[in-house]
Amino acid sequence: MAEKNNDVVLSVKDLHVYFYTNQRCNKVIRGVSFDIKRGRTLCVVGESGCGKSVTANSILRLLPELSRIEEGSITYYKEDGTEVRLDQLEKNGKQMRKLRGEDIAIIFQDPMTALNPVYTVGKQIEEMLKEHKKGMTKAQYKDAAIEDLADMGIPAPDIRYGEYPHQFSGGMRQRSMIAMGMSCEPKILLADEPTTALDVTISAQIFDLMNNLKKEHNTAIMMITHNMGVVAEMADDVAVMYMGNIVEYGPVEKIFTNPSHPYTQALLRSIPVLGKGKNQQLEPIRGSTPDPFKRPKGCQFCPRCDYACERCQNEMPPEEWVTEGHYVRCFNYKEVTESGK
Amino acid sequence: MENKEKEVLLKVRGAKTYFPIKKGLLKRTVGYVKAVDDISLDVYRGETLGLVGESGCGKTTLGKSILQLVPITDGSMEYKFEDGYRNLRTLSRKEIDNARQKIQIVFQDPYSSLNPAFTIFGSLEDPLIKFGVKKKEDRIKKIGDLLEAVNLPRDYMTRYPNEFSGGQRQRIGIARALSVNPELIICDEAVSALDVSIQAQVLKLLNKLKEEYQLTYIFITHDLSVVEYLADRIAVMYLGRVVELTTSEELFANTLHPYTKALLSAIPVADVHQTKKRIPLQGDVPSPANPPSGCTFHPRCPEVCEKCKTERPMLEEYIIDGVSHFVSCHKVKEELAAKGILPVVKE
Repeated sequence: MAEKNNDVVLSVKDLHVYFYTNQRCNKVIRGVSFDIKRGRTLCVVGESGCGKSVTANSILRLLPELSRIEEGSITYYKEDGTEVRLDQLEKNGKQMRKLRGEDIAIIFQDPMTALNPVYTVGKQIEEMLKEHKKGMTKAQYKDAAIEDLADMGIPAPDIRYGEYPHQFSGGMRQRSMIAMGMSCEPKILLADEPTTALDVTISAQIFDLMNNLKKEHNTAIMMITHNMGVVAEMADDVAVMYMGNIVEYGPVEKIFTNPSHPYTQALLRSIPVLGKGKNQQLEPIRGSTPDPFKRPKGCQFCPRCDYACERCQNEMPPEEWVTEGHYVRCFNYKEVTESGK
Repeated sequence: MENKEKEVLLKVRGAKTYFPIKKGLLKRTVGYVKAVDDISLDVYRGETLGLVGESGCGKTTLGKSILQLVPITDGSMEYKFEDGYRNLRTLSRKEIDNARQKIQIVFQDPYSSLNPAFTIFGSLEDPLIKFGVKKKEDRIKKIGDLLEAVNLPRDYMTRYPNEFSGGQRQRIGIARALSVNPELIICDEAVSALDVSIQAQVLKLLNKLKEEYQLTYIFITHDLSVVEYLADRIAVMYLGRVVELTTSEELFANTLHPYTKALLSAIPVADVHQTKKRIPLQGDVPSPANPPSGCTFHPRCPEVCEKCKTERPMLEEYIIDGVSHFVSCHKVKEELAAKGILPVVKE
């Protein structure tokens, strides 16, 4: 990875996460490296099961019982210059709990299951403030929570403060999740498919909201999605994941105009693009994603790849830097880049 | 008009599907959820009609209403059988069963629409027995052919649904719909649950099958980029009503209804060079149990006027540059009238 500069708030290096179930080991994350930078949005894109959510959850150490960070490091750079190794902290220890919410917040995909149905929304936002901003009066907490709701564009926030999640619509629930996440002004916002469960007109509102937050607070955002459209709209940097690896990482223009990995290329060719009409040629990726317990030996994409060679079958390609800030895991990336032009 | 020469396969006129809201000890009906509220449209033979809209706009209910899977409150749905048009609503149970040989459905969730206790052969066999393939060898042959038609190996028929991936299951769902040689297939969010790389495979397959079997599709989805790729005509729905209906090219080139404009602008496009102005919509979709007065879109509409709040606009047909374009909006009507385009009057 690039040298640490002042903009990097979180750096993940060569992360390996394994899940142990039924006496089998699923190597979910197999060497993932990326940086999250201040005031920029990193979009992690990939198909279901590629490890995008696990990556986000391992940053916050929210992984399930039977899983472990085997190798690699997750470093959080505090504003005062100190470094915190998140992977070495105790999972639910005092330090980790302090970081969660205050420095790093997360928004989950399904706001209905993420909110507690038996507490009012206001109470749940307050809870966050009480944990991290001690010493305010009851009324101050309430005002702060109402202000957070108002900031998210929820109409009549003082009434909504006393309502329960089921009285909210999907879009409003997601807004209150974001309100909760942003209540302590975290440095990093992790958003795990924040709009997948929402309608397009509502998700457009949520995206605007997130972009405003990024501008106003200089928050670093890591957004997980499977929708290439969302990536094009929101991202500054993109990490394309496939079967537990980032296969390509780089600035959004590079990824879309000149993809260097066969998977990125194939992915972009397989989606219908709005405004191109009926005559666009879709080229589906052949086959399907392999069973995580029967992985290919070398490059994970090899069985579905048009550029595969002998070497790909036996060896996992390393991260190769194409230009600064743009790396790719492919032996034949030069050929791929040429053909994509 | 080229549409006039086309054969109308299904005529939907004034269809309403209301679900009663029951409350209290006596389960009194206190109101209705107007899932489908006065929809009229034609489906031509051999076309793909896309039905788009946000969740809760009634697109799935309309699909199910056509198949008579939910009772219709009012209106008619006339389907063209060999002996002429007959209203699907008035058919007897037995006749509906036969009508379902002509009209089939592919469901959204490929995981819950296949019985996990049956092999693929078992699942696909039932419709064949029902519609007269009595010999087992014939059924085996037919199911093998169907699996091959959807690009799956023949011997997969002995396997159980849990052995398949989502994309494969959806293809089995399509094979099941094809098994009775239908004319019309209703695809209810058939690709929404699939990963993008698999989605393209199924979309291509649907296009291929349409040619091979001369099918007509009603393609229900919330994804406009998918529908643009597949559909010949697109109907945009909002709160149980069709707000705009025209050919796919016309809809994207000459969007009239403010809702469609906002919807199109809200969709993230996978192209970094395409910059567009987003039309922000305020608030959420209102509840269909208590829809707003007048035009149901007026509380969110950026171009709202006084008339919209009280008077409900009708879906009227306009001929714009030779293309039929249905739209229901007061404002658009005025604008078109100013250009000298008046709605087509039908008796």
